[in-house]
Amino acid sequence: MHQEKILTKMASKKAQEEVVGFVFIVVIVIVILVIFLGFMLRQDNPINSQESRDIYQFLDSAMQYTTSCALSYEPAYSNCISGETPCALAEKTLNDLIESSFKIGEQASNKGYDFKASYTDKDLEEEIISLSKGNCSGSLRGSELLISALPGAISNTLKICS
Amino acid sequence: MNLTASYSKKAQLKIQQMAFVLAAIIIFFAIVSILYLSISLRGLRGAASSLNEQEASELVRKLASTPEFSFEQNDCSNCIDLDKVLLLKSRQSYKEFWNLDFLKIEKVYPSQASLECEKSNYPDCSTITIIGKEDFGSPKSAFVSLCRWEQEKGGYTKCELGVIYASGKDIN
Repeated sequence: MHQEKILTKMASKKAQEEVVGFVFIVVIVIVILVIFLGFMLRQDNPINSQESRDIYQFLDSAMQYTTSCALSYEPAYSNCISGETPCALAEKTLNDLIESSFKIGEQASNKGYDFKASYTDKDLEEEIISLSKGNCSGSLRGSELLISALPGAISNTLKICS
Repeated sequence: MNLTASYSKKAQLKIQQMAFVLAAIIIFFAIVSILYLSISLRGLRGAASSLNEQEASELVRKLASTPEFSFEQNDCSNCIDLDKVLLLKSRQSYKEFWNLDFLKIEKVYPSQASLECEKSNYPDCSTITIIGKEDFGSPKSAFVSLCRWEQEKGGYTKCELGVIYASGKDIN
């Protein structure tokens, strides 16, 4: 009788050990799965590509804008007739164009922007205009427009930060 | 002679244990697969929706390159002739031409107070609504250049930044 009790207890303990082992394996598999899902869900947001198309359209249209210097610029004098330099006027106009089109501000959904225009050819890369405003530490979307300027090209990039 | 088969109860128990474990593993992996597929499909739906939005935006922008809107003097595919558009607005025959519920052009910069363009206030206005039916849904938009002939300083082509809005079955 006593021996039967001992055997029953041993069998019960063995069963418990097996169940604990099974649960342990299941927990490990779940942890691995959660880590894997975490990596999977950190994929690029497809919405970023849709909004960068919007920025490309903006750049393409903004490059057609007629500034007040367009009629009065004379290369020999390097200035517009109003006295401003073409670069200063271009920077001011671009800043106004960007802020009118994308509401930029601390309270707005767009926290800042970064615009760069640079000339590149085979051996040279020269920055023409660089504008930035606000905080660009979060997520951003952007686009690039190339304008032919033989022998190289002018690259215009705009990034909007949110 | 009495023949009886003796079955190993221990072996039966082991087989039952294995069957339960296998069933549990299959159910577990089935749940994991369903979860994975649902997450993948969600990403797919988002990508499809994004592509539809892009396509709609490009369709709207293509309107700017049609002969009714295009500005011929610049070599520019997204330039709209604002003088032409103002004349189109008053032509009833063009209301059904594009098969759209809503079509509007708005100046973004230089920014002005919202004012519908008429012959009396042009070009000191900001908006030209060509088609404006009720219940036009959610219009799609695209940036365009708005160009016109400016009479001052001997006459020249002036281009500004604008947005074209459109809504219709072909676009939405």
